[in-house]
This record gives sequence, C-alpha cells and structure tokens, in this order.
Amino acid sequence: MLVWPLKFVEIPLKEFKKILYYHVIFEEYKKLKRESDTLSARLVGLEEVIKDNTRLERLLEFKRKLIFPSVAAYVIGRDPSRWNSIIIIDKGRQDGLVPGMAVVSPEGIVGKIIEADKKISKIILITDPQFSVAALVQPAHINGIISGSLQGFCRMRYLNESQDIKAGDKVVTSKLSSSFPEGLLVGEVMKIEVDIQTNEINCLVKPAVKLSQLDEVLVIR
Amino acid sequence: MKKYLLITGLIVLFCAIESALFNVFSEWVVPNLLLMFIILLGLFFDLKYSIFSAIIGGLIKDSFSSSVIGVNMVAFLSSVFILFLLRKYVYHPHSGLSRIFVLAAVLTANEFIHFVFYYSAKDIVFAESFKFVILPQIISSIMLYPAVFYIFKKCVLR
Repeated sequence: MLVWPLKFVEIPLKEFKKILYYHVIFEEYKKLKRESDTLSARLVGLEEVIKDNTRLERLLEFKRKLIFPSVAAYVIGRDPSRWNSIIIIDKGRQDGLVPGMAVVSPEGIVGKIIEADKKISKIILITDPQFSVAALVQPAHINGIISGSLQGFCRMRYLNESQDIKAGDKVVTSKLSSSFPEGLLVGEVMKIEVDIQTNEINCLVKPAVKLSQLDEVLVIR
Repeated sequence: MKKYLLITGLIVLFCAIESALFNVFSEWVVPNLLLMFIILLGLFFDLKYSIFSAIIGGLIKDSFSSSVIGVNMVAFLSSVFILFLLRKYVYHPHSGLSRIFVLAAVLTANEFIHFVFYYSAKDIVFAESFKFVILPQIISSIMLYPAVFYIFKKCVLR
C-alpha cells in the first residue's frame, strides 16, 4: 500500500539530487568529452596508419613479384604547374638511381627518371607531353608509342592498324621499350580518334595509376 | 622599405595558397593568384612595385618549378610590361570593368608566354594547350579575382 506514495516522493527527490550534484556531473561530462575528443583524433591517425600499411604491403608484394632489382621511394614534391607533369622522389644517385630508369607502382607504370641528384630525383610522369614509351594494345597485340598530353591522359600514336582496338582494351609496355620491362600495365583505351589532317589514328589512354594521389613508387634498376 | 617587406610577405602568402590549392586540386586548374596580385599592384601603385613583385614572385615560383630557371620570372616581367602599356592606353582608374579587362588581358598574355616557351621545349599543340590549360587558367583566375582584390584592399590599399 505504501509503495505508491513512496515512489511519488522519490521522483522530486531524484530531481533535487540531480540539481545538487550538477557541478560534479558537469565536471565529469567535461572530462569524458576531452577523452572522447582525444580518442576520435587518435582514431583518425590510426585509420591513416592502416591505409599506409595496406599501401606499403601492396608495394612490398609487387616488389617481391618483380624479377628486376628495385628501390622503393617516397614522393616528396610535385611541380605546381599544368604545363609539366613532374614529381620528385626522396632517392637519388647515392641509392644507385640514374636518368632513364623506369618508375612503377603496383597499379602500373608511373614514368621515368629525368634527373638524379645525390639524394633526390625528378621523375617525368606518363602524362607529360615529353614522355614516350613503346606499348601495345591487348588483346589485339597492336604496337604504338605512348606519350603524354595536357589533358592529363596519355595518347597512343603510330598505330599500324586500329580496326581491332576498342574502348576498355588494356595497354601494356612492349618489348621494344628500352627503359621499361615488357608487360607492365600503362592504362586502358578510352577513345579512338582519327586526325583529319594526317589521317593518323590515335588512342586516348587513361593511366592505370592515379598520378595525383601517388605516395610511394618503385624504381627499377 | 616597409612597403617592400609587406609586398614580399604577401607574395609568399599567395605562393603558399597557390601551392596548397595545387596539392588539393591538382587534377583541376589552379588560379594564378600571384599574377593577379602583381597586376593589382601595378594598377593602384607605381609600376616599380609591380616589377619588384614580378622578380621576387618569379624567383619563388622558379625555385619550386622543375623547368628552366627564369621562365616564370621572364613571364611575369613581360606581363608587367604589357600591363604598363594597357595601363597607359586602356585602363580607366574608376572603371571596374576596365580593371577586369586589363586583368584578363595580362593573364592571357602570361599564359601565351608560357605556351611559347613550352611549345619550343615540348611536343604540344596549340588547340590542346588552349582548351586544357590556358582557358581554364584564365577563367579560374578571374573567378577568384574578388577574393584576391579583397585581400589586396585589406592589406595594401589601407
């Protein structure tokens, strides 16, 4: 019988207790908020570490698969101009790098070294108009030359035939290339273009590597 | 001396903003903030400040660039020369429209100077350069002109 009135009294008592201990609860809330913020920041850092780890694991696996000796390097700089597609890596002559060496990543080819200092090297990317490499379209097995363009894509020129090429075909380095090993992925055919003036057939090729998000590369020695 | 120091500080600031923008939006076009600052200096003050900022800005840009040293400085100085001609014959101090016209003309001239240099050094064609580099660069620069003019007004015109 007494349970109901007692419960009725308990409610305002509880509320009064809350008001009385308000500052203690608020202090605890502030402490927990601080802890939560710290943990959130740490979590963001950890997510970045996990991503780095996954990327480096892929690079290591690729390095193991490569039959050529290679040197891993970090990208430390980028030319801030649309006219050039050049990056700088943290390895140079003292690591055995010389101009002309091929630079690759697990996704495909990146470019080649154009300048090697003692501790750093400049790499010309496959999207630079000055870059060129012998390549072939698969599965049609048609040879051509890949060079960069200002659009941020590559262009495959001097194709001997084009009727068998279609969008989505893979482009790989050919054995005619002097600086790249045979069979490395360059990208895939996006579009086939015909030059009206010269009647020449070109292919627009999307690079397999996301060159703007490149962090680590392998230099083939 | 105080003015030169302020100009140098602002040049470094614009270079840093440009580099930061390039790192984030490297797949797109980054506006030429530094050149806009040089043009505004030339329009509102004596041209000697423009020449000074063209030399300092060009040297800073050249030090970060992988092409031949001096390309950016020569392009900036040539742009200042064109600015000098336009200021003399085209520009009206109280017309905002003529200011934007001068800005667009000098930005275009600067891009063409770069094109001439890279055309001699690389295998590039004009149509592609115009469509993918020159035009987007001019449009993005003009779009960011109000922000640059605001900073300029706050820091220099005061």
